[in-house]
Amino acid sequence: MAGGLSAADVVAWCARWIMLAGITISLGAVSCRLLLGMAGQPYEPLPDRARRSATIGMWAALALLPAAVVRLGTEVVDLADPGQSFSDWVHLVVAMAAHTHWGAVWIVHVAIAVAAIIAFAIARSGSKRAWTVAGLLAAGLAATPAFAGHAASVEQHRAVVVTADVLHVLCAGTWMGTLAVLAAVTLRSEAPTPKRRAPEEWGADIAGLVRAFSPVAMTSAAILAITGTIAAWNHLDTVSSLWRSGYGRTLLVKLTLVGLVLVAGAYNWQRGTPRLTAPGQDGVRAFTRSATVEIALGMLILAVTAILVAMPLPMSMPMDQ
Amino acid sequence: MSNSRSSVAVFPVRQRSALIAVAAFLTAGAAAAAAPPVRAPETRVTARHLRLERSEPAANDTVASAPAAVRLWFSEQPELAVTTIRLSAAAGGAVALAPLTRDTGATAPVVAPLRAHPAAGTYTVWWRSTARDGHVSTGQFQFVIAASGSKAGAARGQ
Repeated sequence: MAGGLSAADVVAWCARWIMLAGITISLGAVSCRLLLGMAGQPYEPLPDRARRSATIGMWAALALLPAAVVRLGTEVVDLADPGQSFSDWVHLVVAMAAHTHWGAVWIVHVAIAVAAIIAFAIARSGSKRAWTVAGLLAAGLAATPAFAGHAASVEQHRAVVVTADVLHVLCAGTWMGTLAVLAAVTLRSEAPTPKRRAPEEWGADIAGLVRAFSPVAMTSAAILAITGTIAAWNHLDTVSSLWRSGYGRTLLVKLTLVGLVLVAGAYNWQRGTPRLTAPGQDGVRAFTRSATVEIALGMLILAVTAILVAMPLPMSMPMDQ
Repeated sequence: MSNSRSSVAVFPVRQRSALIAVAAFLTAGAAAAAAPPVRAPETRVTARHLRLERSEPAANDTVASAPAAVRLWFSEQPELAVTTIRLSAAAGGAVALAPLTRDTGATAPVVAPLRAHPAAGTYTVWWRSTARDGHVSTGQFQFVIAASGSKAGAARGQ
């Protein structure tokens, strides 16, 4: 990241963003399916919503494949010599994918993504077994960034840092991913018509889902804070690295966005949810707006994280070196 | 009706969960803020990815005779399959190197044996590698092979 930003850097960043979003939404699809089953009387038939969740999970897992190809491509471009022959390119791709730790994790990531696409596709038919498999595969996808990122190369307490990183991604999925899929599955429906049920019933249905989701979101946010602190503790060797290094400043941007998401979430919870069941108010529309803001902020956080994971970690050195 | 009743019943649990979440967030934040600086105050911040820690011949060193190999010690275990080392003379021309090797030890250097016996002069070692995290690092340094008859130590003192 030092020096100017090249087109390859931007492409690599986009690929990492898509990867993080794909993993988050795959996890969210599974978590959303669990919540739909817990939320009681649905406004729409449960199988319809579950099918939509599976479709979203399938597309999210599918997006991981081109992102993985681009990530491998940009990695190889970084390692290539200018003007090297086609056979050298092939040799480098094979060497990177088959003979490095990063490549081994990349292959596992792609294999899990393919399996997840199949599992979500089968889950669209309502198979509980397919949902269980999709859930396990989505959790497996969440583990892959930790094994091929900063956490994998730390020398001290590697097991702790990798575990914290895996939990961090899992909880990002169960919070932001679930919210995004829940919103897509429940809020995207057209406004209720007289042929269908009353708007109040729709609002009460969404309020029930929000009530089921709130403890999940809060627990996930708390674990995200703890695991994020563990990572920051490991990656920043001084507090001043937060403002003296590019990594630290980018982390501050991410923390600011996290703070904004917490505010948006608190607003949704305290103000938006009661309006859903209040008579005479268009609570669903207001809730849709505030949930959209929360999801957009979540996507921004993933974008900043996609920058962060590729940045060199700060390291303090004596002034005389 | 049943919805509003369940909402009232659930509220204290939600409030407790919120308090726990906020408390955990604040505790984590306070812990991060209170983290003591590990280094002395007089420090500068630089990047930490895979980096060269030392080499044989050392950077800017003058050696009495051509080395049999260039050895590079890195801060992390480099991925040998995608590591490149090149040796070139300041006067022009690359020095042929044999395939790279590395022992299994965590601190073992990457070894690039020289196929030729280079003449006296200034040489540049250029390297590129990546660690387990896939971040690519590059670097270069120079060393001098002293002219025959001259002493490396004397050259180093100049």
